[in-house]
Amino acid sequence: MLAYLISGYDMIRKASSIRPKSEVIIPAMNDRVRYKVEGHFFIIILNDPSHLNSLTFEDFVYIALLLKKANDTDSILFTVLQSSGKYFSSGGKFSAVNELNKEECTNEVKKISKLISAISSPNIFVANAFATHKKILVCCLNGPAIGLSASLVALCDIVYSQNDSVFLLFPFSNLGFVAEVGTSVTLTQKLGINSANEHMIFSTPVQFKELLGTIVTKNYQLTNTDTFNKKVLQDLKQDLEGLYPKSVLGMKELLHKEMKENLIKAQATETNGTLPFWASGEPFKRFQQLQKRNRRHRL
Amino acid sequence: MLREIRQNEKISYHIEGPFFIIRLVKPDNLNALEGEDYIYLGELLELADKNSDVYFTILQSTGRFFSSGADFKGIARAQMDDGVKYASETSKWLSNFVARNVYVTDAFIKHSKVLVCCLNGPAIGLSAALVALCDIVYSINDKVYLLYPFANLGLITEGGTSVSLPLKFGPNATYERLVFNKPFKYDIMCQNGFISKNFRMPSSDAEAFNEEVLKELREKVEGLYLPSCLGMKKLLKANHIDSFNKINSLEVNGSLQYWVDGEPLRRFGQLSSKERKHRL
Repeated sequence: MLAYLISGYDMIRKASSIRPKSEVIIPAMNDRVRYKVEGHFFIIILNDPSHLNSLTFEDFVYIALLLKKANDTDSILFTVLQSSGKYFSSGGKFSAVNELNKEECTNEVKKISKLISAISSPNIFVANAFATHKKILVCCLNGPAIGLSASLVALCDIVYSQNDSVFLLFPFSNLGFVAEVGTSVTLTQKLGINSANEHMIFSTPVQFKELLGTIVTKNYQLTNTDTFNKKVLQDLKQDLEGLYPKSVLGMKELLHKEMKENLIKAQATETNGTLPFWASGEPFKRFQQLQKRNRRHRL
Repeated sequence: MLREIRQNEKISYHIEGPFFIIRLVKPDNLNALEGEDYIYLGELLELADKNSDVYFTILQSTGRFFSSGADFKGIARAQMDDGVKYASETSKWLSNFVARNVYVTDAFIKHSKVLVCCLNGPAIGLSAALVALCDIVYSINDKVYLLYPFANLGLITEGGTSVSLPLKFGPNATYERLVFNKPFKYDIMCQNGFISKNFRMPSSDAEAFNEEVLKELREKVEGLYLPSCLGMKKLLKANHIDSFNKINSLEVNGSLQYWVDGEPLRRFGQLSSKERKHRL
């Protein structure tokens, strides 16, 4: 079924490529997420530092649409995720989660349908946009990332850190659900099975010391985020000079092949794995406690 | 209702909150285990699996060694029982090796609770294989190691090690150590995130180490939604479960031929009379 859907998607793409291409215009949802194109680089910027770049479910969908746009633009070789301020992103907005639980749903079918749509948007649509992305995904990790946002960092091909105060936190067991957005694949693969177990089962942060060499390839040791973002882009442009673009993308396709298959499988196992937890209501209770500061992240 | 289970003088167990604690308690024999003991371990795992109040199965040991592996006495006994009960060598080793090995390995592979190993010292052979099947490992200090002396004993990989070791340590590091019978020392266990935390305690203090790990675990699980822990384990395990199930059958059926041919028995004999040594 999955294979059919994917090949179906390819067929649509092939058919549409016969027609003259028209520029896809994605209107900006709001000012929290922006993008710009600079030569071979498609740059996505999280731009809400005063709220630690926390994101709504729609923001994640918007990021996925931007990824699609970058994928479909031939001149693009790298999709770069940047952020602003102290945090890369503190994860999903509480308000977005509370929204899901707002109306009293007495009708079980309606309740589950609503949850399926909410849970599938990050776990299927966003996760798939990352899994099937053909350009090199670079993350400029300027600070800590939590939850769904940390999951996106783990999906990137190359991650650079601004300094050694960055960390990734996957607080799923603290929030009453299970691994989401590809983390059951990315973390076991990148951190090692035992370490992924430790951090995900106990919701403990993956500190810089462990990130270096597993997820982070270079530490820039900088204090200013703008300087860091500029420096990374400058280095990427320099590194790219003289390289054959088709080789870069061809290599990604080969290196990513196995991971891609596993990620596509995980879309089903993670979505179906996490849904009963959300349906039980436990995550809503815990998000509210977090918001009222009766519950804390483990740092 | 808890099912009644027989007692075993080398292995004890108790339940404390969400923790099912299994402890090897024969330090004067370096916690070497016989076939029946491995079966008992498998039965305890099943017991923990069926208990819905249990979320974590903790393996602890006592003394200087976690476990020195298969006890030669048991193997010698299996050898002596020839001609009487079994129609052939194949039949004998099916009972004395294949059935036990495949059972305990399967119990670890299919276990649904989070398996935590408190590695208080070195582990060898099948015991070391079981350590590699645990989800999370804590070490007492940096003197711990895992040794898989299959090449030295005339055997091949067992207990899922053909899959667990390349996955957890990388294929090249695994070949080097399995082919040449060298230990996996602390360094490589740490590099690969195999050990989550080194407690930096003296080797003589296994009991304090066990208590310290448990204390930390109690703090760690506080406030967590425990069903999430099991749901997470299930998802993370889904990546490799098929490989483990397949290899368990291939390993024991492959090893059977070696036992039938008699080389392991000869070499276990040499080890016992000290003509042959483990390489450390």
